[in-house]
Amino acid sequence: MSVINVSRRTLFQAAGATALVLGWRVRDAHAAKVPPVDDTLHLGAHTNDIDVHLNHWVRIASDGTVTIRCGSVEMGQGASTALPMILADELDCDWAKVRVEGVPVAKEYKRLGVELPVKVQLTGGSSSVRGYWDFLRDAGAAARAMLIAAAADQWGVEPEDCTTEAGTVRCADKVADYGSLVRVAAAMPAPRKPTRKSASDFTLIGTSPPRLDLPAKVDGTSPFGIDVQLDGMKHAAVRWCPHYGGALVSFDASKVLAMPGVVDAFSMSSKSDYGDAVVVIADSTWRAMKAADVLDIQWDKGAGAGLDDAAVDAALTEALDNGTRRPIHKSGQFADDTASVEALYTVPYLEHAAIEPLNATAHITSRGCRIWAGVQGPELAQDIAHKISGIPADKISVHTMMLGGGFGRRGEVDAVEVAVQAAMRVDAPVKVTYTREQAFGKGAYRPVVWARMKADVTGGLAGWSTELVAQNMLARKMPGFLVNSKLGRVVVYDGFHAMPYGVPHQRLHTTNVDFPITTGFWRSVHGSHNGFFRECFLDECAHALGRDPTVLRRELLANSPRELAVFNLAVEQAGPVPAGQSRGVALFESFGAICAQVADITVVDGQLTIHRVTAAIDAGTVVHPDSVKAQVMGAITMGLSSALGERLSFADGAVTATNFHQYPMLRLGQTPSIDVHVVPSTEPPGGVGEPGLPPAPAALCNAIFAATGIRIRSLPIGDQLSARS
Amino acid sequence: MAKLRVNGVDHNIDVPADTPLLWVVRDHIGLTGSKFGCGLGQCGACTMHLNGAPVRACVLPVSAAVGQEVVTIEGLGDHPLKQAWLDFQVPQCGYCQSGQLMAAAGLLADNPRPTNADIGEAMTNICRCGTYDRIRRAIHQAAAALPEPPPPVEEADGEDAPEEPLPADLDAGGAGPSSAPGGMVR
Repeated sequence: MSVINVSRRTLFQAAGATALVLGWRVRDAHAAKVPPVDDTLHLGAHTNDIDVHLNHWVRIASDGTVTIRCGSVEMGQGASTALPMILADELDCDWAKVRVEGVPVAKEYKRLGVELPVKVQLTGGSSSVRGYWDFLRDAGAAARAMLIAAAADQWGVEPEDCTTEAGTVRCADKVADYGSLVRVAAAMPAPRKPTRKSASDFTLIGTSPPRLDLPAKVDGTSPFGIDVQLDGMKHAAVRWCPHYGGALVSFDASKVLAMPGVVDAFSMSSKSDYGDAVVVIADSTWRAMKAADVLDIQWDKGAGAGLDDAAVDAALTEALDNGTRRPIHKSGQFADDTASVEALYTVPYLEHAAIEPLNATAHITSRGCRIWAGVQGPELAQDIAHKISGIPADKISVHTMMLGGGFGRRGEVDAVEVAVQAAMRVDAPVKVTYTREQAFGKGAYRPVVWARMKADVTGGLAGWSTELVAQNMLARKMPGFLVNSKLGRVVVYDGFHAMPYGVPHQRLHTTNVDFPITTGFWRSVHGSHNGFFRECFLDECAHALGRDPTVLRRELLANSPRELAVFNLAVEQAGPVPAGQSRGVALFESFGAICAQVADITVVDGQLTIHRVTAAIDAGTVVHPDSVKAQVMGAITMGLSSALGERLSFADGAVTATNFHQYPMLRLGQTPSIDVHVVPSTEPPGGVGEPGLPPAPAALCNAIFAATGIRIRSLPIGDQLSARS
Repeated sequence: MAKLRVNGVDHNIDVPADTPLLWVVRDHIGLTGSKFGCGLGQCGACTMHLNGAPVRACVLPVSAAVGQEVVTIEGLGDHPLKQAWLDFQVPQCGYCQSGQLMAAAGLLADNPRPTNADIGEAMTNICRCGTYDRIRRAIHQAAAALPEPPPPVEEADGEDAPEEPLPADLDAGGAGPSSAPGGMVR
């Protein structure tokens, strides 16, 4: 168990020169209907036996090895263990005999849109378990029914009299293992509506077997996109136009082309809104990067000229005061003249800062185009490669590698664009690797967002008004009418339009503001700002009312029993406030889950120490509780990091931070002890990767207020404590 | 042409002397466990050992490593940290973990019973997934699996009693399958 058999040797040594060696052989009726897998995610027990497909999610070898396909990419969230567990539980197979492989781009492997009525092959939005839950349960249950049918047929008994357990079918004293039944089973009709287990019969779901992807992540063999090595491979480095809104005027490659190992330099224009770039191709990563450093490029700053932090602030102020306010939600009658508490909250642009710099490898031959990359949307990668090269989509294969962090940034395909453009110019595979400076300079940042909130605290929290001003990240991807529809705005206002708190008079407006800076999905999306805005302003209201923030929240959650239970669990688990420490609490519901957090801190002479964060999450039915704890722990850490020091500044439309030394991120020494408690539930699964983030900055800032009386309304906290204490 | 010794194996390399050790190891020798993260010695994803001490290979010219002993994650061997990393299910995306492990191995070689403060000071590698809390717990466990350090020679007065390596709040059963390491946790 847990042995990793990545088809790495095959890929890395032979794939460039020979036809793709498939990791399996197929000789069964279903095989023709199952799209071939052509990626590199292979985890778990290895078998040399011949597999037989029962459907497009699962096949079984005669030695009992069960191969389950994982529709999501693995970017650390543990999907490559949790998703196969869902099918394996319904199948009643032996988990120790399960191996896992990725999927090609194919309609069969799209997940439910979760929030939208469309199916997509995109890992994001905390939707892996939610999006594949029904498909995997049905696929497992159907396969189990076919195996039972095969055994019943063989034994001359009724299927109803057979049971399954750990990879065997049983009836009275008869036992047959799946491996011996699978050939016959494959010929059995698949039930149209397979009978699923009841939750009380789950044997795997709700347990935490060791993650299948971790052994290779501990010994250094896990194959990330950046690790792809192919015969004769060239290496590319890119210089994107640093000025958002700018463009390429000209470049002089003569000096670069004279450098040893450099084979080409060319300019390109993005087809996914990333602007212009100059690309260098060389015979090694280092040579390509060095060459790109000395490229002589003239950029026109265009709309980026003069775009700096002050200009951004001015535009937001203008939008707040005079912009087109779109009413989103109204209940009761909020009247401005009743508002006695008012505050303006702000958050800055943020970079995802995944530690694996963006990269992609492409190889174009007469047979088509092959792409190796760690991308959240392999479908998007295929599509952009088609747009650039004109190669038909069915001749473009996407080999999804391990992702060294996604956080939303790898839902973009700019690196794939560069790799494909480069591969069109040389007769060899080309890998582009971004420098960290390029990763900072060309992003899909969490947008700047401001919120002006007002509250009527006459005799309790009677009224609440929120005015959000935001650069809508969807503006660059969707037509205007969609951006201004509910669909487009949901990325901005969620958390305010259906607050779990009982506030009689509510009003919510949003105002869009446009900048040429590219923005996108950043872990927890709207929650990354609205959790901070809402939960800190609620704290302000509690103090204005002279009420304890914990007690007030409990009262306001009287009609939201699920939220109240999560909140109470976190507070109860946190126990009494440790002597000398100060406490902040926060709650936020997002991506189908509810998370509450308690932060215990001290501030001494302006020096903040976060001692402990206690969290509770209700994510409905949980497949792998330890992964849920890990995701919440990680999201808390990222949330605290963003709150403490992260901020992108701009000058002439260009990001001023070039590397980590100018973008302070949380390190181990600043990280609190984190305890996560999972609410037992039989409700449908919720999301897990993102809901842990939104409460973290708020719980921290509320604790800071309790400790110091300083109300943080602008993130990051930066030096606000030392400057004002 | 120079000889570079990595994980006990000599490699003939022919690259400019200022090429960072990281790129020689990754692109020329083909050992890809050490990662590129920043190119500025900031994030630690590239951490290797040079003569037993952790170094950030993305900013170390290969010329400084020629004639020295270089060890990468592939050469770390059967270190108790690896088992601790699995017991606590530390990695998420896993990209920074080679560097984290090499940094932790360097720490334990120097300081077999580190306190939380020692760990915080030595472990400056960035993990964007936020696995720090589990890394800290795993280092304590691995330290406990290492042989007792020899008793200090001086300090007979007992003034500098070693700190408790696992404070109560770190052992309270939060994140991490600490109750049944590496096993099924219901």
